Amino acid sequence: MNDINLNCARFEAQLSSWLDGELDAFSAAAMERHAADCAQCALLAADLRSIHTSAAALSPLTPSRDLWSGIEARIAAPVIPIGIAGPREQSGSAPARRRWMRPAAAAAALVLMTAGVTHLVETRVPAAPRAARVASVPQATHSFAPHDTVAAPRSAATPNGAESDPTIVAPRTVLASTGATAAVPEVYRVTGDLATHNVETSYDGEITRLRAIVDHNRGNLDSGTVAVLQRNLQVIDSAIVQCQRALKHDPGSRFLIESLDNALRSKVELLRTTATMSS
Amino acid sequence: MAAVAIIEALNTRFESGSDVARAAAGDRLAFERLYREHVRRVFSLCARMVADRGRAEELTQDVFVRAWEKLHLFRGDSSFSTWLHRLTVNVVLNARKSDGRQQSRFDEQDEEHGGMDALPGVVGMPLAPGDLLDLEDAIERLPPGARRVFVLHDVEGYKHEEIAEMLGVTSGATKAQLHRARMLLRESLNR
Repeated sequence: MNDINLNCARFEAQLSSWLDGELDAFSAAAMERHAADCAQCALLAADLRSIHTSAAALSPLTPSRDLWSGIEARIAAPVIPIGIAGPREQSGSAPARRRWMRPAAAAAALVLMTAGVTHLVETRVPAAPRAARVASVPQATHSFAPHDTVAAPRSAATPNGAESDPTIVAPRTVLASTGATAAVPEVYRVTGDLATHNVETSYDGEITRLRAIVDHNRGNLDSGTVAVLQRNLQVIDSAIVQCQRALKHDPGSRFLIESLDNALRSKVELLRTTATMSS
Repeated sequence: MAAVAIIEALNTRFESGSDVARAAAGDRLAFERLYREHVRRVFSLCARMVADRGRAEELTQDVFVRAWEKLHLFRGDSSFSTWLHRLTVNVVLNARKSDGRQQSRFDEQDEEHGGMDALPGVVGMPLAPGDLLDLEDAIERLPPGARRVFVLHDVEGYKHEEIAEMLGVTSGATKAQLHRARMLLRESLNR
């Protein structure tokens, strides 16, 4: 590897490593000597260096069309307006049941997972006062206390300073009930990092709007369908509460934050399906 | 009061009044401004990685939809541009996996067929003498495995260790692919 005199084949084999500054001083010196003596290899090195330099300086490309409208349509996730929805399906029909059982099934899986995590966390960490626990279904009111945020350890940076995973977040979040929520059953209080807070607040508006539609059109659904809806919502809400409890003990858990995100997403999905059916 | 606290916290966490903060709070107009600012860079990375402009446009949309969904997880301690860039790489690589193509590590077919002339559409069509492909075209004609490594390393500036982690291969493999890509490009550009 550390030959004083390289042949052309060895020079070419090590060329990229040399150009990228990955060779030790001895090997690099041998490469330099060979390039000084061999015009062909010197030309090869110059070409590859030129390619490397040119590649780093390539101009940005431009899409052939404006892509925003497609993006906007996908992120809008609009509430389906009453009366604009497609043909109404028979309440409780098999396809409809399958559709809204999907989010419920996902949420049920979440309940199992988060219940396990909660159990592990609670057996590991000294129990917090019961009064501090979230005891109701998350829905509408939040307060935010930024001073609870604690810097999380960073992952390794890329040469550009990029995180190794852009979606990784390690917030320090404390969830706590207000202790005065009896008059407003669906109130919970969030203190802590924006990550967890935003997971919940980003769904609140949509959930509220969808709930209003479902409540308004409840009369269009038969009693069996309403019962199924209620059961599924209970499953999902249970998953949400489990996630919040677990996050209280392990606020830096990315898994728990994403589980909470998934549970809230399931709730929106279920309500949206119901809204479509009821309109 | 809660809304005021949220905005204040966002402004503290991110650059004051920035579009990133507003978009993270659900402001679609702010997110559109971020899109306008970053779309070319995202599209460039997608296009060079997949060598298909139409597919790259779809992936660019996927990236921004994903960014919108994940913005609440953005910590703000790296730049939004860096975060978005890494997200783009992940989306492109995940799309490659989910496309269902039979792709073993670094596309074994690349190894079997060897160089750029083995690619569909190029086979048996030697370039006319003196015809010089520009670098952009030459990159598009690289075999997929070599192209991905070349784009990530030489165009985007990632290190071998990072590329190896992203692609699930060894850094020795990425070094070999990079050298191969450079040699193929030289051959193509010198024709």
